[in-house]
Amino acid sequence: MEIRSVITAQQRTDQIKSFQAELQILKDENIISLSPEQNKTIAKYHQELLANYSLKFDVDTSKNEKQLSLGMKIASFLAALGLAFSIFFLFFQFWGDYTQNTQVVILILTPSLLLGVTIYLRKQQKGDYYTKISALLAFVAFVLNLFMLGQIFNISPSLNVFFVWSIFAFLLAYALNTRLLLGVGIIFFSFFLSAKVGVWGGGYWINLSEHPENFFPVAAILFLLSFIKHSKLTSFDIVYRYFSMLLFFLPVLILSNNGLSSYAEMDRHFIQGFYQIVGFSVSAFAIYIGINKGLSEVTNMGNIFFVIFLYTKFFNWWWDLMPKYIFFLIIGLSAVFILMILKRFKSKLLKNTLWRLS
Amino acid sequence: MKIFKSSWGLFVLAFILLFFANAVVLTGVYINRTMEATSQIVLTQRELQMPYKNKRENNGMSLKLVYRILNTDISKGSYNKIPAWLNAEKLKELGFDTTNRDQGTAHYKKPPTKEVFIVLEYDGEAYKKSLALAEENFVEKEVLFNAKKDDNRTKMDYENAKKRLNREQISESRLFAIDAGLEYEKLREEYPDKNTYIIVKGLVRLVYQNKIEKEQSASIQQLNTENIYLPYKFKHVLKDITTDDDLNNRVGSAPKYEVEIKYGIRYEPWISSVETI
Repeated sequence: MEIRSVITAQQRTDQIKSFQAELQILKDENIISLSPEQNKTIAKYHQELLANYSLKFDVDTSKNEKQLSLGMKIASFLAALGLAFSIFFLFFQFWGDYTQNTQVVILILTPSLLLGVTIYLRKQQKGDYYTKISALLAFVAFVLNLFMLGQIFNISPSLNVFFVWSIFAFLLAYALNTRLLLGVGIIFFSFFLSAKVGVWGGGYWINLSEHPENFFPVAAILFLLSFIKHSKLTSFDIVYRYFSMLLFFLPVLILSNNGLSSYAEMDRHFIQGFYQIVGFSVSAFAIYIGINKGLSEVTNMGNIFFVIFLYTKFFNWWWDLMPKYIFFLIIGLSAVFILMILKRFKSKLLKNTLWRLS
Repeated sequence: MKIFKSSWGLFVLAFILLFFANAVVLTGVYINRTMEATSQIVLTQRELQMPYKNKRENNGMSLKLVYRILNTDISKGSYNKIPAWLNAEKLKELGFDTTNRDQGTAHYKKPPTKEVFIVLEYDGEAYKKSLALAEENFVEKEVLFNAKKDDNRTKMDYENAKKRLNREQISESRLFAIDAGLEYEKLREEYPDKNTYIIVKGLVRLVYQNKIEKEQSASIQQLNTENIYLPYKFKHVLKDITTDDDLNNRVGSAPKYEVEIKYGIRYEPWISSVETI
């Protein structure tokens, strides 16, 4: 079996570790006994595999290593964020002391150099974290590049710049398997497309947030993108699904409370009611489909938004009418009720699994 | 495609995108500045103001283009950006749907915005009218004050009118938004003097009226470029003028510098000279 990506290498490593632990239990309880030669062959095979994965994909082969990796991820995220802000303010601090030509050269050279450094680090294959930090800095420098050119030449603000930034972030994210840059790319792309939809709807792009429905097409596109095969890339499909659901449910939540921000020229109470039904039914459907298809992120987002829709409704209905202790009692009881339903769902799922096994 | 499958291919695309985006931006700047200017005007500190305060973390500087609206009712001020000339007829000409806006819940909705050309007149009829209004107001308050010298209210009104007139004469912007349209050429035909009339791009937003105020109106939401970057080569000219001076300017002191700005074929401005007065 050929392993090509970090995610499959990590999955295989975890599988080997589980197998070794289970094998030990089976041996200890005398359910199975392997000859010393068989033991040696299996152990040697696994050792070779693990060493190979560790070298090639930098996978974590133990629980401690996994914890350490998480710490490193957090540290690299903070480093990237800190350095990005530092570059941003560094530019502003000394900006007025350069001639326009020098400014242009600095603006173009900085992202180019940082992109060069990223490629160099990627080639070295050693400092994965450093490569990702450098890529994020290259992206920030590119954002500054176009933003500052706009400022020094008094260029009219344009919507297209968001598209250019998003493509740059996507390219780096796919080249380096970086979820952070993918998220950044998605955010910029969402700005671009929802503003574009606003323009098609007859508005001006700066006012993109005035109609939450502008975000629906981008949510649909991201959801479809999540089903493109991302086998070599760590959890990219999950990131797409998270963002697509967020960009769908948040506008629905706003519209279910403020029908006036809709494009529809109808009674605002009707619009609000419509979006409340949409919010409840789609979030409930997301929970169902997420459980059925094994997409935990879909279930999670469905759960979160179902509860938000429910509590928003409770708040609208009862906050002013009820004493606060009764209001919170209802909140608590409804949470227990949701828990009961989910528990029933879980036991049903378990029964189905056992039935399939038998 | 193979190029998308390898990291190197994606990096190459990133480099191409970086240089292509910069090339497009700089070509746009070049085209804007090399063709014949669409407007060319000399403004003073009254119309191009320094920032309110020095930004400690940013040593670049932009001058803010300050324009006003002629308001016959002096109490409404001239910075409310709802000009009388943006009436139903003009809004129709600008392509706004002005029908039935006072019915139902429509006026609670966010009204539409449109990018249009806005004509800014410098030191012209609108300013003269504004000055005349301030003078009339001052004379009126002076008469009242002379009649009732012990009344605190009339005294305060008189002093305010005097200050207003002083500001109008010395420090207020003489740049007034006087018209709007969808085509630059048409507006330029109507206002041919490029040294008096700047034609810029900006946003106009419809103001939904309630049932009482039936008249349809709109506001100027913003100009596309309100802050004009001061290039390094002119920075030394303004080095002795502090932002405090600019703040004083707003309460009635004479302008200390004048700036020539040009608008190119893409209606984007740049500063071509700065001199102290």
